[in-house]
Amino acid sequence: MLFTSPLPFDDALEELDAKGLMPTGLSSAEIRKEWSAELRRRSIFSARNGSARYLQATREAVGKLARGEANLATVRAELGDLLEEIGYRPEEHERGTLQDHSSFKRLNLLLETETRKVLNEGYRAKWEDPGTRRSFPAWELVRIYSRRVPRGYKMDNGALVPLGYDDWPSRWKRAGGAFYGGRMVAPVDAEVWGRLGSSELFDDGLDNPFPPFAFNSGFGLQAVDRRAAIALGVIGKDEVPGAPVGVVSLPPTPRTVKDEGVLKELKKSLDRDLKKWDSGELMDEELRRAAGGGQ
Amino acid sequence: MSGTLKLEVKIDGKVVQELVGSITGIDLVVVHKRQAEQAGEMTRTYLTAVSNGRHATAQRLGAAPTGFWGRAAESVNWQASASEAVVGVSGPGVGRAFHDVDILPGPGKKYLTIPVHGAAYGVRARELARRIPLVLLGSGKGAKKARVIGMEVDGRKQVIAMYVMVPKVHQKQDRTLMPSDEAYYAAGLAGLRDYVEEELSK
Repeated sequence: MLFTSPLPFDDALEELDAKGLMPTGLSSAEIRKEWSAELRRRSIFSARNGSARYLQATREAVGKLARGEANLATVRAELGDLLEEIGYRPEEHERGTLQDHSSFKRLNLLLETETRKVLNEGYRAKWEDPGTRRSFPAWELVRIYSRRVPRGYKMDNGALVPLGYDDWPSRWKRAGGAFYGGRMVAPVDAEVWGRLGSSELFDDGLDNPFPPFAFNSGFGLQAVDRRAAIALGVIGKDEVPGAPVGVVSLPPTPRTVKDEGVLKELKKSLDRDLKKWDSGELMDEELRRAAGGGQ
Repeated sequence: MSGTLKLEVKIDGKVVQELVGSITGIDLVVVHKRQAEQAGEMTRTYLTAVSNGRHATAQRLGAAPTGFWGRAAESVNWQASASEAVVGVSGPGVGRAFHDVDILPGPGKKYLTIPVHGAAYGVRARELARRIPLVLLGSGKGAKKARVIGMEVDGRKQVIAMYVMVPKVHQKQDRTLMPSDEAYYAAGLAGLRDYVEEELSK
């Protein structure tokens, strides 16, 4: 089987391999102050970690997770083994905290954040194609990873209580996003995607125009197809958005099927066949099946 | 752990060939790309719903979900050629959607450790052992010997079971872990329609 071009996702995995290792004694806050967003994006680093060997192992662990070659528990245990091997011992007052490189909190945060960055940077790069942007002109910000206590909530006597701030709809609004039927949707080239992760707006922002937008975030992107985007009012009937921030658009290609009549006939036939798909009934059935199937 | 690391769903080019094969100027690579996009996005949406909806084991143990299905959703990738569209999903055990899976111990190991306590869910026994004192207990004889890894409490006056050790786990196929064939067929047609509309817009 021949593929005409390398996959953007494969490119993202290659970029992971090309990232520079940046051992550093700086804290997270100092790194965000001193290093540009671009430098952070192009590097593998962990705040206050000066071990190049550990960073290399982190890169390999992230690659395994991104490729689905191992699960989180396995790669986290391997990093824990390495820390023990190189003689790492946390300060007693930091043991078990985010400052402790061997804690579950720290390792999970590092692995989940870096893996999601790789996967989402690759995903987003697919919108270099104007045809892709035509078919899927918008993204919706949705929960991908469930949380026992979502951002913007707290547990009180066993019940989840909203804090009234810092949840994702509040952040979306603060970043300039509009709501469509209560949904956080925007065209793929909208500014909100660049602002949602801004550390100037949010202390825990990661300064990337792709998920995760903040530390420990379980939210991510879901593509919205053209019919849905038009029905919601996110784009106009003939509108095709530009490329997302930081993605270089491929040039448009000319029409290759000259017989317009045959295309219109084919479209009519497909519209008839896709009634259940277009009405949303098929996806509703699928999503019920997804949520409620056996284990 | 055994099991498919990468699942590939192929949309057979023959359906497209029957519908459009005789139309002059059709670019099959682009047709398949649009089909792959529709099928890929549908798969991603579906796995996101699995990620948000299925936590029976974690809930039973009072543990946090591991994020496995969320990562599978974000790992969905797709590619196209002149002959087919392919959607790939990565993750240990995702193949369970299409066949039974036998989970076996890793190289050099005889047993799997199955968590039976919330603190052990999603955590390797050797990781947990770095944090709390664990002991290996066994009862019974021969092939029926039960092996348990437990946490010592109060100088071993009490042991709380954290893992059960088993030689393998057999998981039956669960086709609901991935979208239905009907959905993939529809996605393939939707992708073809995207191509047609794209051509008409030029």
